[in-house]
Amino acid sequence: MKRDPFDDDARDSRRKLLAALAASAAGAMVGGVRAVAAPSALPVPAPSEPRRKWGLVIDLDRCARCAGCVVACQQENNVAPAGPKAAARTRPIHWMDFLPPAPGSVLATPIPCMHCEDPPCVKVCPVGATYQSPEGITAQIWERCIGCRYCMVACPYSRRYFNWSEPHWPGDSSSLNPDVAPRPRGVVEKCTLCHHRIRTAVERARVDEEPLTDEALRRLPACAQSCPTQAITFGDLADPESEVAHLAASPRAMRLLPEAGTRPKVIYLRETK
Amino acid sequence: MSHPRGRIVLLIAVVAWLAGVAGVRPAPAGDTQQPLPMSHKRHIAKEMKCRACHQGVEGEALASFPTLADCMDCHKTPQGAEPAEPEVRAFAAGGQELAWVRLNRLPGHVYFSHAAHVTLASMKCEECHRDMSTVDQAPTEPDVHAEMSECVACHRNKRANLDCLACHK
Repeated sequence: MKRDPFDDDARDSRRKLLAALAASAAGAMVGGVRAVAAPSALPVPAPSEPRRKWGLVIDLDRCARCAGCVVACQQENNVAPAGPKAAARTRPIHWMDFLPPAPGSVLATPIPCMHCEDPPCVKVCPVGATYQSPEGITAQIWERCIGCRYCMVACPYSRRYFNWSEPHWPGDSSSLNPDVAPRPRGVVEKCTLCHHRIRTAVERARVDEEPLTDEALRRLPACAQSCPTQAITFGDLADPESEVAHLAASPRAMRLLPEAGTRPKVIYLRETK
Repeated sequence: MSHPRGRIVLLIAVVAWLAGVAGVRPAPAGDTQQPLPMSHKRHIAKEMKCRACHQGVEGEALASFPTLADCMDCHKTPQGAEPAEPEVRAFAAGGQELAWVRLNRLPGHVYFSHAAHVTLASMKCEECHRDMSTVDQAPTEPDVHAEMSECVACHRNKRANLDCLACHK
């Protein structure tokens, strides 16, 4: 059931429901009668269009390790360069970064936010600044973040970054992307799966009354668009006809840290050795 | 421990600090100047629609301002007896583009699309903007003072998208 986070009435009725459940449970304990669940007071939303589940597939066998995605992401999302001082303190921000090569390998792994199905970062946020969007994006509203950094501790992939200083762009900052708000000092930031591009594409399609095709989505995020070997593919994992769904079903598909139980929606392709 | 002169000095110092460092300054006067004394009232009286001049409103996020070429589509020849009307042709003769001053500005972390509201939700301009049919000039004050609670209330009533990412960036 879809929850309306702003609905005070619903929150009240939930509280009443819980109180009623607690009362009936107490009654059940005393009288030995089974508790009957009270009917939910929350309104059932009208059925809308099928729910999408955005995901990313990164083909490590195609990836040339050129780091074009890292640069494109930085440019697209107004991530300020750290400068040598902050870099020496390991404070640069890279929404898309490279994992160092595993022992015995020479190849690094491009790693954006995994946009987990079960994101640990969301559970620990005390202020609701980070949440999972209905379309599966682990989103963060910068204005809500209080900078406690619990989410950074919780993320098993270390895909979250704290702003230790106000963002500063050397020279002219007029080339910033107006679709992405720069983050101030003291908040945590992360990959949004280029949500601003998705939002525009979805709206464009609806205004033009044209279907949003998988072809139009495949290279939508800046990392996928910039990849010269087309190793990064974006799309709707819930659509069985989409390219990402096909690739995710490949025998080469794997996820990072499956033992963490986070069920990432960023899927890697690699020939197993 | 009273020392009148010391107190006065302290008072002056505090006032100077408030004025300078703390940024307490007189409120800016309404000195916005639009390039032409364009009367919305007269245009609307001629049955013109908002989208005739604010053309982006149906298909884009931003409702655009008319360019000089848009004005000259009609004003190439004199229209009506308004004394200010010839000013548009005088302006065109100057060879410069109209630099309308944008008054309504979104906070940096908010995304708003006119197309989504006008085309997809079929909302009327007056639901957010004031009624322009009585405004006899190009406005110099912003007219939309929406709070997030108002956006959310309407989105909830109309079962529109309540995802934070629908409006935040």
